[in-house]
Amino acid sequence: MRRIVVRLILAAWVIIWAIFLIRPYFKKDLLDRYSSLIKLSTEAKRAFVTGEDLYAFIKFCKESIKERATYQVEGIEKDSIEHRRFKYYMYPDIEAKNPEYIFIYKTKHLPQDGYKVFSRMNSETYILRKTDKKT
Amino acid sequence: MRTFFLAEKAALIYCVGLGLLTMEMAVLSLIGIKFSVFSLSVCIVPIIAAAVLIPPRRWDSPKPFSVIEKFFIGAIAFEVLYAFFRTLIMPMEGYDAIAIYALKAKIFYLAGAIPHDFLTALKGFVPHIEYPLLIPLAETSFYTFLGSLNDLAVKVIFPLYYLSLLVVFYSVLKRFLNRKQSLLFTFLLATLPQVTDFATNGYADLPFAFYCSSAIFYLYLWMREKQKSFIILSFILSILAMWTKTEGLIFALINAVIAVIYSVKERSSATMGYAYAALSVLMVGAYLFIGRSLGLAVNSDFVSSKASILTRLTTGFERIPAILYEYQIQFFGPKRWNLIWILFIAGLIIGFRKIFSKNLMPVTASIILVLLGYTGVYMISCSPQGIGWHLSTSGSRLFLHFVPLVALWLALMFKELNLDL
Repeated sequence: MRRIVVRLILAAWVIIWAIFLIRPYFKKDLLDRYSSLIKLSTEAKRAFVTGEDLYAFIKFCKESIKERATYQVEGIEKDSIEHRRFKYYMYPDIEAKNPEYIFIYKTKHLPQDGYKVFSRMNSETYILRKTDKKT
Repeated sequence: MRTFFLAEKAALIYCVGLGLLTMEMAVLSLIGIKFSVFSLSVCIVPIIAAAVLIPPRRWDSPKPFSVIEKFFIGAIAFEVLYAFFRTLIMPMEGYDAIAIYALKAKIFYLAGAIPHDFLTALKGFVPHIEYPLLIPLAETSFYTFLGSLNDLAVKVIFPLYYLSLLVVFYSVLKRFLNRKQSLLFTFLLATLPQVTDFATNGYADLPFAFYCSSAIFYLYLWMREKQKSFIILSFILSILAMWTKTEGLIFALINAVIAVIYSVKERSSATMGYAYAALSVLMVGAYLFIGRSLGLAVNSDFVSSKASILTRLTTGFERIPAILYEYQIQFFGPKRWNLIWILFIAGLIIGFRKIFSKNLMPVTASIILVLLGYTGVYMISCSPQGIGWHLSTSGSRLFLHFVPLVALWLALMFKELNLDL
């Protein structure tokens, strides 16, 4: 009797295991995701995970500014996962108050005293650079 | 003495070796030596070589595997391979994985050390700067040996912890149970969705679960087999748990309590038990003292309130319904835990008379103390986002820390109740 109970519990365990193993393939289209990812290079995988637009913006920012600069970013919600990824990929450039650069991401122009457009990706995505060298 | 099985020894060399390597890296930074393949290898290679030379304990004479044993082995192997696949198919993407651990690792790698002004200059830039550094430094060591910052390949660290946890868990069980029973409970642990998810996502929780659970496993083995190497290993693992996550402080104190309870009962090995407890308390004190000297909070989620811990604990009683509600979500959530917590509750009821028997007492007491400890933490928490947010974002992770202990408890109860498959 005890052995039967143990075996029934094990059978229930295996069924639950199988359900939660397979379910994401239907609910989250995991097969599509994996089959896309498996073909990509490491760089393309980073873009896939980060989001193509945001990753292109990060590359644009990194390539446009001098290394170890300070910046602030507008258009990415503070402390969101996108903001964390942005900070991670931008390092050793550091987010700081009164920065050398302000990155504008998919946001209509925000007037910034003491800054002027330095480099432009498109009309809503661009970089401002500090003009007043005394501050 | 042949104390450890070969696979168990390999798993311990990986996890303990990596942990000690990260401690060496902290010391190198303090004395101003930059990270390099040479500077990282100089201390750790002799330790690993010495560990490799210790002759392993032998398994029982091999018998052919039964069908059910083959099924367990196949399922465990599948989960391990699948964990490696899920890990290596995408770069770091989880919130804490990238915001805390990967960012710190990148800072350390690019600086070639822990920058001397890390705690001051980067305080506003790096979230949770006070968190222990084992995981970021482990990632940094990987980059150093690799020679480049590959945030995809570095994730291999995590499924290796998962594999190590399963190997150590099986090896511990194999000392008390037969092969089929040991495989059964290793299968249960290996197939928990929460365990497999955290084996792949770059968070510190599964490595932490390895260190804190293994510290209790080897403390328990010392109580049963009285070999000094087990209690020494338990102490090292306990320190590495503290070096991985702050919750390690709770586990170190729990281990100290368990060692004292045991030593009061078993006078023959009391000296070792008391020494273990005293050193554990000393290490917790040292951790808190160093943190305070550096101006760091134990955890920045707990510093916003100006009230004393005692006052917060008293007012924290109002939170108990919310905390219990979160616990029941975990207990009865098969999506993350399959049936393990339901089996644990069933085991408590069916085996009530045996839960404090000689063989089960240390594990039962550890689980109760961990639950009480974590409940106390929630009671005094003053996370800026509120207790609801804190519970919902951390509850399942805290349960992950001691689920291997619960799996061990189930296996021991299985034996106590004379059950078989």
